Amino acid sequence: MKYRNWLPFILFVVWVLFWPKMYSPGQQPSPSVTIGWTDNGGDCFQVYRGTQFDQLSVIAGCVPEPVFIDTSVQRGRVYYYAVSALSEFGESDKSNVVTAVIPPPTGTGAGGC
Amino acid sequence: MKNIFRSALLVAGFLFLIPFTASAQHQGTLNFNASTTPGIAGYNAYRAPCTGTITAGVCSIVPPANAYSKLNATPFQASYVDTTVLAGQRYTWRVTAVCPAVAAGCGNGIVGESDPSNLASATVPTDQPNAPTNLTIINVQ
Repeated sequence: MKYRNWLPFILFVVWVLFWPKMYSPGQQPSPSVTIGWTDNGGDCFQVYRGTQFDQLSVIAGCVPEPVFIDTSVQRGRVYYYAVSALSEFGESDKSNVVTAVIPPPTGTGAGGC
Repeated sequence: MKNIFRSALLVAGFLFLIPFTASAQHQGTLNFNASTTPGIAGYNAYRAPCTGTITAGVCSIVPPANAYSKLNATPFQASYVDTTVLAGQRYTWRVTAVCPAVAAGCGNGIVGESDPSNLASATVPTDQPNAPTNLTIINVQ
């Protein structure tokens, strides 16, 4: 059988891919928040974020598509997001504000922030 | 004689407006059918702003005759590009035909400026784009 010739290689690939998870059961992936919105015009979008509802600041200046992945969040925190549209004529009003709750650290992995 | 001229110099059978260009500087282009009177020197363009409220793209007040301001310094020959419009404002335009400022005028005793054409109105787009909506959290991990 030809598969027998490939079996050591397949086992090696599986071992490489899953080794960290097998021996670090408490480790969580890096936290992130993915947001999306409806494009109502403009050339690109500005993403706002804050830890308080009414204090948002720009974290991305010109996102071309109506989706954004924020990988600079910390576990155990609450973040508020809003977006606006940009064009050569200026900036739109902000969108609605959404709340993202980042799960706290779990297991025996590294400590929290 | 003036009345003959006014009736004879039927300028701009139909005035229409090319939509505003999507550039940083808003502008409106006036196109119209040429006057059938031979020998005219060119055309004048006039514009009046909406002084009422704009609802669904319609101004609540029709600009009176004395609200029109002349846009061009000297008569122009074909279409006219109005580059002095402001974002969000609604305007009404009209044009007239002009005979040469000499004794002969357009000939046959026709001198001066014609009656105004029909009116064309448009609202200049606002500067800012519409705000995004339906912002949602797709995933948190």
